[in-house]
Parts: sequence; structure tokens; C-alpha cells
Amino acid sequence: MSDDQRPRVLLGDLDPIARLGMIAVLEEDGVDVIGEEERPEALVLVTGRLQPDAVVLDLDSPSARALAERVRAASPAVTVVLWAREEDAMEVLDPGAPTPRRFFSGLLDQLRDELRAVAGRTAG
Amino acid sequence: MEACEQRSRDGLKLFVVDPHTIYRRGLAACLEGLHEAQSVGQAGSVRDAWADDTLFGADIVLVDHAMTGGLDFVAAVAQASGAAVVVCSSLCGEDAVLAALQAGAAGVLRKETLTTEALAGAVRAAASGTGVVTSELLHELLDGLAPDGYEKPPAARLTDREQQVLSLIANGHPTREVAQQLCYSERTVKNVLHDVVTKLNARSRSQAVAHAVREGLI
Repeated sequence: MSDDQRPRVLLGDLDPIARLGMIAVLEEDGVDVIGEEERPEALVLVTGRLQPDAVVLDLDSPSARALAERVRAASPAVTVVLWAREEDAMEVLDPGAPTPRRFFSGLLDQLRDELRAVAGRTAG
Repeated sequence: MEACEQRSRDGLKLFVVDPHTIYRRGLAACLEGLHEAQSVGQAGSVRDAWADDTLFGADIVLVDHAMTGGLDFVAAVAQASGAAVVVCSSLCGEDAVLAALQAGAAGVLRKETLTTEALAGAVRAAASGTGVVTSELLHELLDGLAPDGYEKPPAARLTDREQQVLSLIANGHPTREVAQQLCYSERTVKNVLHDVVTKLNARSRSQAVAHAVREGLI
């Protein structure tokens, strides 16, 4: 994978252990984890500054959808992925899409595919 | 004593059994960062764990007992390897915690609130032969022992997903319909409901619904 096709991902409010795991798995897959920010206000600002391909948030958090919408409002080009700790659900909010696409099985492979696709779109 | 000295000289051999890949890798990454750690093995299922020889040399085994065969594994692995077993799971209701401790777990950690520091502390405690049950889980156990008139603290907030599921249940939809409507599997809906019942300290779904409506949670 050439450098300009490596997905650039920012990690949001995933819990600390899940964040460590996400970094380990994504970096093995050739994804650039360009930062982590669990504070909502700061996450919105950092997303605006770094313009990642995707931001990964915690689907189990009570404020997951509200935070996703704030990130999208401030950075409309970014894809937001909501990831459940138990790996039984994932939601992908594409730029401009009103509703998420939902996934319920084979989630790690789906995540890899989504990040690859999003990097391909932004590189192209 | 000899065993302790041996451990401190050689470092701890750790093993993680958890079916959730990202979380398991996170646990392993955190454990690998401990200076006491000599090795960290991993398996995504009970079957894979038994097939891995390093399991039998482990000093401490971290297990999500909610996975298939998980509770039996807790009991069996302590016997087979002599390791201290620490349960690390999202399934941390009163019954689940008691079941884990009765199966022989030296400690129980709740994934939802686990930090890297708490994990390190639990592993060090288990290595020194001490058990660890985090204070919030102890409260949960003690709540179960509280007299009927005891007023429980206000419930935690529900996640969006929990609110959606509980609202539909409150409106009389059966689990299957809730699953269809939200595009979840029935298993997911049941898991969410189980979590809600636990979170609200309720004894049943209907009690959870009543509580949630009363407290304005849905």
C-alpha cells in the first residue's frame, strides 16, 4: 500500500483497553492511527485540524450518536465509525449520509474494508 | 515463597482468553507493557486456549467468562495449570460475579470501566496471591445483600442502543420484532436487555422497563 493510500484514522472515546487494541490491529493492517482524543470538545477540534479519513468512536457510549454528529457537522468530509466493545455491532456514517450503515458480523474484516475504501476515495 | 522468587526472577507468564479481537489485543498490549511480564499468550476461544501449550505454564490467565464455555474454563484452567485466573468481562451482574468467584477466579474486572492502571494493579495483586474485585463490583454484590427498604443509588445513564431497545420493549414489542426493527440479531437484543437489567439493578425486564420509565431514562 503506497503512503497516500494508507488510511489515516483518529481514535475517539473508545475505552483505554479497546484503544490500545485498535492501534495494535490497525497499524498491523497498514492504517496510520494519527491520534487519539477522548475528550469530546478536543476531538471535534482535532478532527477539524487533522482531517483524518475516519474517526472511530465508542458505540457503547451514551453520547455516541451526539458526538458523531458534532464531529460530522464540524468536518463534513470525515467518515465516522462507531465500534461496539463486544464486537456485535458497527455503524458507519458516510460523509453526507443521513443514516448509518450497520454491520453485525465479521466486524473486524468489515472495519478493514471500510477504512481501505475510505482511503481509496480520499486519495482518488 | 520459592515460587514467588522464581516468578520475580523470571517475570510473569500471562495468557489472555477473549473472543473480542480488538479488546483482547488491547489487554495483551497493556500486559506486554508491564515490566514484570515475561510473556503474553492469547487465544480467541476456549478451544484455542487449550490447544496452546503456553497456557499450561501461565502464572495468570485473564478470561472473559461470558464466552462459550467460559465459566467452565475458569474452573478447569485453575486446576490444570495452577494459574491465578482473573475474569475480565462485560458480564458483571451480581450472579455473574458470584459465579466467577465460585468457579475459582481470583479477581473480577468490568470491561466497561477498566483502565490500564487497574489492569496492571489486578495482575500484580493476582501475582502476589491476592484477589481483586473492583469497588464498583463489590457495591453490586453488597446491593444484592441489602435489605428491601434500602434505597439504591440513581441508575447509570443508558446508552443510545439500550434506550432504543428498552423503548421498543416498553411499547410491547417482543424481542424478535425489536431485533428486526433495529436490524440487530435477537442475541444482541437479549444481551442489551441483560445489560440494562444489570445496570438498573432490576430483577427482570419488566422491572427494568418500569424503572426506566419512572426515572425518565427512556
